[in-house]
Amino acid sequence: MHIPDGFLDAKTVAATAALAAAGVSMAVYRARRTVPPAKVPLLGLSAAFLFAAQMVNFPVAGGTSGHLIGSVLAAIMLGPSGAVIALSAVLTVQALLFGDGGLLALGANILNMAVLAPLVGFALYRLVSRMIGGPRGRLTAAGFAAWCSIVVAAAVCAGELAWSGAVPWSVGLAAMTGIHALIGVGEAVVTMLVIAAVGRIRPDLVGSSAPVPSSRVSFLVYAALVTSVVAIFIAPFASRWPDGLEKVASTLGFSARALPHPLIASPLADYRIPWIESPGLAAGLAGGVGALVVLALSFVLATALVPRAQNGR
Amino acid sequence: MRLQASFHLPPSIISRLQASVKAAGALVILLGIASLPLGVPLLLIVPVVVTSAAALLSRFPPVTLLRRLLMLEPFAVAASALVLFRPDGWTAFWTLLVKSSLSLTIVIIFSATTPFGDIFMLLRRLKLPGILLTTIALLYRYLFVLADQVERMRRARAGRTFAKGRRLAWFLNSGVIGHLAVRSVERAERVYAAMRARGWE
Repeated sequence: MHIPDGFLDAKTVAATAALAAAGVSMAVYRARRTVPPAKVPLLGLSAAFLFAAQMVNFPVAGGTSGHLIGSVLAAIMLGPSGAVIALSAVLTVQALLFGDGGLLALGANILNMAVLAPLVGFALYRLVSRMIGGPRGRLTAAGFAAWCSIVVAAAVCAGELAWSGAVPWSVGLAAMTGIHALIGVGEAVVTMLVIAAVGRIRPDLVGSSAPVPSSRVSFLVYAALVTSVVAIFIAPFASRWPDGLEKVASTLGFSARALPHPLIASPLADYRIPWIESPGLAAGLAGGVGALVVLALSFVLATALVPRAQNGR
Repeated sequence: MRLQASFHLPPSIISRLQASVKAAGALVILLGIASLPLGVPLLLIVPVVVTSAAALLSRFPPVTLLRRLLMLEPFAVAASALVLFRPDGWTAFWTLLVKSSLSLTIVIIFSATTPFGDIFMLLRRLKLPGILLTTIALLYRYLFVLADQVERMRRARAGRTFAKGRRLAWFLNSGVIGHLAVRSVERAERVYAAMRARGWE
């Protein structure tokens, strides 16, 4: 999801850089208050760990492979503010030294993957792990939060590309969230397996006693930041949903030539449920159904991973 | 992603420039490229000339530069492909691909001619918060150590595993990452003790 340079125009670069700076500043402010000096080297080592973990390839179908992104893993191990700092460091070094993700696009990449993803993921992790409870609940929550963090980051990324006038919103959103809904399943599985593995060796690192300092004010600031990013980059498009692709299709006349029945019908094709009129609502519903499916799958995998005797703890 | 072995370019006009000058120049060129409209291919001649001049001045071996560019190109191609749905699809696609390749070349030249120490001093002069600077410094210091460690652990794991299979690979790789996480946390404790012993904060 690293956006290269050349895709974002000047106004998007400025807007994303300002929002990313706000998010990182808030994280630094919180970390100064909550991270004791003894834990400062942990941020650097965790950043190096995340970077190294991203180099481990997981085989997917047909010779392709994927890797962990680790936003939620970082948030669970370091807390939200620490995760924002560690992930920002990773993205900065990737951009400056390895050309992975652009220099001008660094603000947008930090905003999507180092601010939004861990914050959204951590909030959902806390919510779901409180609802289910126990080690099984924490694992389920981790998988669910990992999927959601990837999909939210991808949707905002599509919004930024549409803001720049490069990629039409409907195409960008369908492609980005569609692909990342699949990538997110892999991310969820790997996050759960890694947390289960850490839990077997050092349960204190990912258990209920893991460091999660929080305060109401910081929660409100973070929530306001996430809401405004979503409002800025997604809301303007959501109202006039069926644009680009349909218009192009009708002007080129290939809507008439389109196959009457797709060869392989996918459930919830195009993120739209046929009998619901409002497309925005339908997209939200389809996303919600996807999230519920992922939540259920995470629960099943968590049940398989946690030994039965531990579940009562 | 794979870590590339860092290599040294022969000294050149560009590598002798101050890091701040280079960074400012790169950002100006990148902004110029970013503000070019899609669908007007002729305008691209200007950044093509500028980027080629930068590549020549940096004395970058052309084959190496191309190889690095190709390694990073798949992302740009995939993202550019989304533009094909515009009415002026193909023109926009090629313009966008050229724009992002030129930007990538600029970033590659910048990172290859600027040692990490210079980049770090630049970030420090930009008054980045201390905790972020410490994190970046430690990230760079231990990145290669941990990359080696993960490679060793994977080789050891492969040596002890006689079965092959996708599902097994996911479990084993996750186990490697989990162990790496624990070892990183324990290493962080030792690093902190060492830093304290040398008078850090």
